[in-house]
Amino acid sequence: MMRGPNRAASALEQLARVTTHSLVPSQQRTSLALETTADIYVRRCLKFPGRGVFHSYPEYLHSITLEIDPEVSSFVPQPYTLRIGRKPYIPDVYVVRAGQQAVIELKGKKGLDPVIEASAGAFFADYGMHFSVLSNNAVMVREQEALNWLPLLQVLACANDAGLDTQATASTLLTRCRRFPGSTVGEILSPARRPTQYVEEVALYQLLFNHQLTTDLATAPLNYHSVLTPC
Amino acid sequence: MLIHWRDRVLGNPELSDISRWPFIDATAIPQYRRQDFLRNRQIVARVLEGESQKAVALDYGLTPSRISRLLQRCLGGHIDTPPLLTTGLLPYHQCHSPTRRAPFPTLSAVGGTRTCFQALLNHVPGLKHHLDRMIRASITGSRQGQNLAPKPFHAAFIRYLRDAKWPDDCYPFTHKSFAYGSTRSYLRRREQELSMPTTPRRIIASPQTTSRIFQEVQIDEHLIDCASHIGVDIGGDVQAIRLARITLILARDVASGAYLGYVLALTRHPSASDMLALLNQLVYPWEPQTLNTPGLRYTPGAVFPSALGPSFCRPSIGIVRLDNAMAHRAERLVVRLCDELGATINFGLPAQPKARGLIEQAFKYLNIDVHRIASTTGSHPLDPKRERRRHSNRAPMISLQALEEAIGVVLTEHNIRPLGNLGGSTPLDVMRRQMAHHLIPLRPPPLNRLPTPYHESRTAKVRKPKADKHAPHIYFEKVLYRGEAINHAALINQTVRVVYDNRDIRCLDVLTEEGKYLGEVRAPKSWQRFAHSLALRKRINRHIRQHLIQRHDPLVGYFQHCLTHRDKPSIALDLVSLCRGMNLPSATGSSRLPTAPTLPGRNSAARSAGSASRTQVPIWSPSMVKERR
Repeated sequence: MMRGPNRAASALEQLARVTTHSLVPSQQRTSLALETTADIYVRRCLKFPGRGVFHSYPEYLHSITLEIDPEVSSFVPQPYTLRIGRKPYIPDVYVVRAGQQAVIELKGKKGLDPVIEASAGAFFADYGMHFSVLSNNAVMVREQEALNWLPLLQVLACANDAGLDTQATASTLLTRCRRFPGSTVGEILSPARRPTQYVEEVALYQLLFNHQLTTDLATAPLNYHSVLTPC
Repeated sequence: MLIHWRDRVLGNPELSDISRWPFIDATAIPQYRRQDFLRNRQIVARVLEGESQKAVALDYGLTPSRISRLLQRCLGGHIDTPPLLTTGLLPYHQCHSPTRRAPFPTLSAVGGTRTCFQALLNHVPGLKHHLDRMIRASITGSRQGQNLAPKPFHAAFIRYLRDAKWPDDCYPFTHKSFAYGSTRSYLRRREQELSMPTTPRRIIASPQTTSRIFQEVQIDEHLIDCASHIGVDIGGDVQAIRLARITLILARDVASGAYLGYVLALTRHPSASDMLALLNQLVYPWEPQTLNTPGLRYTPGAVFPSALGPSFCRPSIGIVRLDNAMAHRAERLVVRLCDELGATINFGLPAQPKARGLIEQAFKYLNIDVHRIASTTGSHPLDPKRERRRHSNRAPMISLQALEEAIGVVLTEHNIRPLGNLGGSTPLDVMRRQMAHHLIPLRPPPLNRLPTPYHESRTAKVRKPKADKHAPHIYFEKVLYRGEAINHAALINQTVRVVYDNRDIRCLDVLTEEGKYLGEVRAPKSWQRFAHSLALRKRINRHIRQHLIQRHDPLVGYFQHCLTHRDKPSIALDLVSLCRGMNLPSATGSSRLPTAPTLPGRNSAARSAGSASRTQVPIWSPSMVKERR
């Protein structure tokens, strides 16, 4: 069992004692009681191996924004079970962003209990992790963008599961987009030949996911007239 | 801290330019006040440009102090609050709620009572909380509450002041009515405020509407509001027996409103197998059922979307919204939805059916037709459409097969019905149009890892206890499977993969974890007599656990149990399900002559019980339904 330093003696801030069994992030099992009281979302992720379980709609959207963030290399939902004072506490997500480890808690208007926030912040700081509280509203601002990305991520997750190799096709597509800047999706994927163009479709999504190609998905979903710009 | 208007301008020099103040449209101000507003604006503009207040006052016939008060109103105030600016120019506009600064009037110092009541609420400890608690208890119907009226509320107000030792020579006791009018106004205002709908603390669903097909799919179950019958052939006599209600499982696309597929489960509690059967309908082309009921036929073009083309069988489904039923939590279902179809599952909050309002609406539409049938249960126990009690002991007129076919026809017809919220288009038109003109992401083509959609696989361990001289076995659904395929010492205690057809689990195909085919293993002979599905095996095992049937020859035991208790509609429905699961002739859905294996003289009691309902059942047709009210 790992214990954080007891700083309760500090006159300025009240810190509770924090303990945990492991600091290796792994998705904690959701209790049946929580499963039937929370708004549960289950999704196959790309930057987290396996099915991610998210306990609210903002958490679900946040996981999508983490997937499309080029600086984020991996994340783990519900990574640790901490005991702060006498209360169990499970933070929402563990993120590796640009090589830095961070633990994020998503909260609504009410915010996180200040004692928990200060205690967890001090505990994670001792182990080189940054703990922060993110408001739900900050996540909901990017709702449209996350929902526009969702189908692409789902197709990629299926393709990864099927072991589809799209490297050669992706390379060809990227070369073509560099040679003809301003190409549209409709020039690559034809509506009439969709069922047979699966490899090209996955390769295109892979290039967008890897940020080798960009298009405006913040305001509108991917469509045949979306313009592709090589990075 | 209050600051002077000059200090505000010194601190924020940009405020000295009145053209940068917030704009208020002068034409929106009543004409009798517009002139004063324009005059105020000119006065402030001239003073801010550097003219003396005295000169400006002279021009407009005002006193300099009036000019100073106007500027203080626009630019002065508390240091931490933003200045009123243009709003301060509006004549007679009350910018702040009034607060009382003067002391309360007493007998010796008589004064006005303006804002005294509000000041009293803030001044007397606990008074506001006490009054609010009374109002809240009244609104919420609390046990401690009362139906409040102004008079008792005022009495409670006075009583609290007396208990708090509020001086007798101070407001409200100096006033003629003891602040009755203010108390009544406060009661009415707070009643309105406290009964306002509260903003939900958490975000339950997206405020955005779904516009793309397959972006959101809602699935739910509904117990059909109608009982049916089936004819059972026992010893040459056809008995019509009443069946319990069946369950409809329906999937609906949110953007187009199209029904994607349905399954009719012959039980009150559908299992994960039924849910998987529904998912198969989404990804395999739909084929119309053969209709045997006279007068029923599919409308041309009325199909489910999976019949529209290969692209419609491979959409990447966004979010599938389900409720918290146990069948939805099954691992098999989660694997199918998340891992194979790549969708997101949302179980939703409990007791929030409106979060899946579209699917609930579909059941409402279906009930319009189902409630026309005489044997309907109606929407509630007092529904006048409900089946008459005097008919409850007899089998309903409609057969199970006719009911199933009618539901299928009604559901498919919805997809070609023009809908107002789609601008007069039909759901299928929207589907076709979006698939042709929008980039609807498609899933990978099926990998064909399994031979049919009914095949499933799971891992199992090959076991052989040391003291056991029998061959190695695989424990699968409470039954030991043995066969040549696993008679290898190297396989003992090793994990293998078994592949089975969930419609018939008498034998399993065994593969190594690397995918090498080893052969097949078979269930004991007691389970070999009839083909049986996984769901049926689970049901039989549940009956064995509850000591309702014997462990030896469980299939026949279960059949006889159902046949003996066939007068109970739920067990009669189990009997139909059993026959279909065993692929007996009744599985074809014949309404009049479903089979029964010949039973050697064990059903005399049952036969006598069913004799009352032994009758020639006429073939049901749509003309038998009641006229729509």
